[in-house]
Amino acid sequence: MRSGARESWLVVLFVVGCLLFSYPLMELFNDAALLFGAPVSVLYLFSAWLGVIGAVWLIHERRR
Amino acid sequence: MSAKVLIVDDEANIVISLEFLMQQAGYEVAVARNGEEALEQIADFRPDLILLDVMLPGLNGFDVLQRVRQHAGAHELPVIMLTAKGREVEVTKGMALGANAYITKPFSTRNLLDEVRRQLEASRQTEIDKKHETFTD
Amino acid sequence: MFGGLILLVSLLYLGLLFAIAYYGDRRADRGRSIINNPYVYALSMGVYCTAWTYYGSVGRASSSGLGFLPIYIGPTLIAVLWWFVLRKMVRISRMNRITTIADFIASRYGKSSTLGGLVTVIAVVGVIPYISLQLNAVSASFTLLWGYPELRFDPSDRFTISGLDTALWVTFGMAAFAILFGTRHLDVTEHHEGLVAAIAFESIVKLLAFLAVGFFVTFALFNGPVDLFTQAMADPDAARLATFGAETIDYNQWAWLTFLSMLAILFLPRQFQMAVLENMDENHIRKASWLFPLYLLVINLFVFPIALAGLIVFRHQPMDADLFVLGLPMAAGNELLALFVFIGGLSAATSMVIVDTVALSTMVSNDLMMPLLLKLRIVRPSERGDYGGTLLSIRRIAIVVIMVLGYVYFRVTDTAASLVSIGLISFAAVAQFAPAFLGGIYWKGGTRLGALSGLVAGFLVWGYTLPLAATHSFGGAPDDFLLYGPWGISWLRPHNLFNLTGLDPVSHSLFWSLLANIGAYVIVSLLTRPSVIEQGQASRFVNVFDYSAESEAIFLWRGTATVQALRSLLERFLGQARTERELNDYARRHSLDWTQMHQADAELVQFAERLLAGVMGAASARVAIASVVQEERLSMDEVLKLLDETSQVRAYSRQLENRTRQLEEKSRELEAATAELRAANERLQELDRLKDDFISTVTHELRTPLTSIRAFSEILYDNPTLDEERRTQFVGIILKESERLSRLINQVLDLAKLEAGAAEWNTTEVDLHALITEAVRASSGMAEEKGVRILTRIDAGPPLFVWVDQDRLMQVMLNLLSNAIKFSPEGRGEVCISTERRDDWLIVHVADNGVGIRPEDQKVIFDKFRQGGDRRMGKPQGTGLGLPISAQIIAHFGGKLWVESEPGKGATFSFTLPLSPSDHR
Repeated sequence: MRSGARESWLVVLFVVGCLLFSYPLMELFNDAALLFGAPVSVLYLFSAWLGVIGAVWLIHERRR
Repeated sequence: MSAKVLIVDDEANIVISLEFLMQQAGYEVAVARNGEEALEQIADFRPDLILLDVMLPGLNGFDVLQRVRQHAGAHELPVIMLTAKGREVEVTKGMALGANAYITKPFSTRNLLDEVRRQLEASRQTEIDKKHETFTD
Repeated sequence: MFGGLILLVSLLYLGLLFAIAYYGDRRADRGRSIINNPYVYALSMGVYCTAWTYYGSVGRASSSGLGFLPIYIGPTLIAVLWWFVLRKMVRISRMNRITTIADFIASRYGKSSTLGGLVTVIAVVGVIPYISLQLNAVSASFTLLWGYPELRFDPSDRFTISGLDTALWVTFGMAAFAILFGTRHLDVTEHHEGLVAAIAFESIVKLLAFLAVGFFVTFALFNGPVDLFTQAMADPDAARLATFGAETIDYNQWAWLTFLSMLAILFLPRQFQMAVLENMDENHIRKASWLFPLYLLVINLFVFPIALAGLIVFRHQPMDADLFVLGLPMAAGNELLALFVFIGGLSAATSMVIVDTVALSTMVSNDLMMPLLLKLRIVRPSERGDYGGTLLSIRRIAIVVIMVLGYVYFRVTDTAASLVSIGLISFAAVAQFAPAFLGGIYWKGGTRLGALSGLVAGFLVWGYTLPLAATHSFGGAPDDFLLYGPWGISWLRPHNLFNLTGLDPVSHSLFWSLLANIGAYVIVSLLTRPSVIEQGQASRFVNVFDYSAESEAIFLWRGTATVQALRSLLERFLGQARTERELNDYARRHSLDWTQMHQADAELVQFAERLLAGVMGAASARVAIASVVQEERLSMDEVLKLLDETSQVRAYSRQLENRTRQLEEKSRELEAATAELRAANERLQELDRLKDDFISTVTHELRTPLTSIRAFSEILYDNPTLDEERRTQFVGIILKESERLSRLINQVLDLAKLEAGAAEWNTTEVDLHALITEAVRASSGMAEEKGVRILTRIDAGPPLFVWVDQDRLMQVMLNLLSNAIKFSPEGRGEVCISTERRDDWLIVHVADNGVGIRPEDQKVIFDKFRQGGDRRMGKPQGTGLGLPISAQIIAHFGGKLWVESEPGKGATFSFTLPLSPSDHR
């Protein structure tokens, strides 16, 4: 990945992350019903969280 | 139309200063970093004047000058040599090869600009004279 | 449980921490850092997770549901941008030898001691609630565990030992521990390697302990997460916890808390300490920016399940939700796990207390007390005396005071307040640093007065709306002050300023305080003019990536001081040995001779100031330096005049030419007079020709930088209205070319001295491996800049001694290393240093993986002014004298220097040295 591109990706990811963890998107998953044995809201928050972490990993560590 | 100046030097910072001075004086500028590039630029960019450094990697400034003078279309192109080696031998050598002026580094920016202006004017004058001659023929 | 056992295990644990710290420091002294890797770096940031996370999150989750999460989501989001923000903070701090966040802000705004003091006060006051939280959690968990197997908890029933309540014992214990731990060293810019190692270890302990309870609760008390969630969600009250809404946490509050914790992770003193000051390598930030969020995610995995489990298990039993983590294993009769959980909580609390007190006490001594003492002339740097001890005593006293204040806060505020609500007060306090700090590194227009006004405004609003308000609410019951406002003025109600409703107290306070803070900062900044020194610092901070470590000397200073005065000032604060070492290093880097130099130049004064800043902070260092330096204030106009000083350099080069001409004349006379010595004369002529060539090349090399300097000086002189960007670029070029010129002159003189045999040689027995390590350390900055790795392959045998001049050999090593780095490919370069022993000889190899050197060039690179590298790619930097000088030096030692290279496969420079007689075995 070109270094300039990597930096742009980080900014994009930050914006996407902020969106994932704010009102309209979170409301879509605001449900205590159980999915795979866990509340949908909890499942959403933790998987979005893990997704952001994974994306940072991808941006920093791949094809260095 | 503004005059075109080709700068040939391999010292990045000197190039920046020359570029700034020439552009500020209203000339159109191209840059070459070595002798080979200079020859290409002379063909492509068709400058009205060349600022030519002597110590160049590969073909040096004298080599470039020699080829310019041998080249049919450019043997009257004004060339100002720039050198950091201020020894007389070299000045003589440059003049013998057909340089129009010789400026020693470090140069005074005003002198340089004056010299450039003078050379451009002189060459324009020759051109007008030549056209005039064709007319009377 | 038997109280003695708890104490014993706790003490054993703290002892283990000491052992780790001691080991870490020992390794650092021997140059084998255990913390110099991204994993330890990320773990040490885990100091973010304190008793708040450990005990408080579960408490928060049991009342606000998912409201515990934004505190960890915020850091995760900002970590995405760490590569920009944190890296900039690290770079600035390293270049300016920043010691604390107060020092950082003070230094940015013209090294203002007022600003440093203010930031210190805010930090100390702001962090006190946070410290009280730790005391609260440790004493409460201790009290609960002490009662085992009974499970009694009543917050009003304070447990006492020998008449003093446990919180006070915990206060003293932690203060003593923090003093022993945190004030062992004086220079705060040297990394606290032991401390970092211990904190990283604590991060592992608390994580394991918390995961252990998590697994125990989920899989032993219940049949896995599915069972736990199914049971819990059957209760509609619990089910509500999994959703957002008015009873748990609304989106508004969620957003504010996320934003708040983004700021907290950057500006909490302990995070600044770990992430910025203790950073060993900017590249570690890459790994940390996903590893640290991952750590946060893992430690939070079981928070919600434990909270739900606690609500089910303690349905019919009073139990503080903040203590579910400990209460659950106790209720299940698992005493071993309970003890482990207690230790985990202890580790969470101690790591916070240690790092925060180290950071705060440094601030108090460097940014508050020292400037005061200097101003009140209680400490006079120009007088004899050792002030290192004074600094340490101030730090120790500060730790005790801070801890006691934490305890006092704990006693005067609501004991029933949840841990998280106490902690958020501190978060909101440090968020006040954000405008001045971020503005300072991204906006050149921020001024000292702007920063001061912003901080004061924000701090006052914060103080009124949060901590002051907290003293007016006991047992969750607000008094009249909160309900109706002071003197019944309703729009002054601390939680409803200007009758604003709809925000929780923390979001409310954050909104008003940041509004006041940013507003004052921006408006006052725009209304005031920065001083010259502020402008200089502003551009050093904002454009930090444009400054190389070399060009640290900025032009904006002129003054006079004697070398002797500087030296004795340094000795008073740094001690004699370290002063000697630093000054010798400096002399070596700049090819100076202290015996020849009496008047210090601007660069040396700045160097001394930075050294002092490392011990006492930028603002204090400035005052101390001012006491021995006759400073002339510079106006912007004078800066341009300074450029004229380059004409002196020009005069110098003219002198050199004159000298040459005289020499030439003399040799011609000689030629005429000694017709009969033709044979000798021919040889002489040959030498003369060589010298002539040499001189001609020297003049050429001298004229080249002079050309740029003169051209740009004239351009700047003739164009006073040039735009700022151009002007900076041109002055930058002048600066760089002047440096090149002085380097060149020094090297020419050096070479002349070597060739004439006039150099002084100070030959001693030198430990080669130590010297190599030192050289690698000195080159690491350059390597880092280019992304080149330096590997040392030296066998671990006994030290090998060679009989050489240490400084000269160092010069050779540095030259070879910098060449190797210069010609290594950017980003994936590798330079390998190895030694081998052959009979009585030592061979040192320095190999790179660059483009290599063509066979025809392999000889000429040892000639003067011949540089390797592809000329078409532009000139490589350097004077072309490094290798000839190195070859001369090695030849003097009786060794030889050569190169082996295959084009495309890198080059290996090697030299031989005779072993010292004591090593001939």
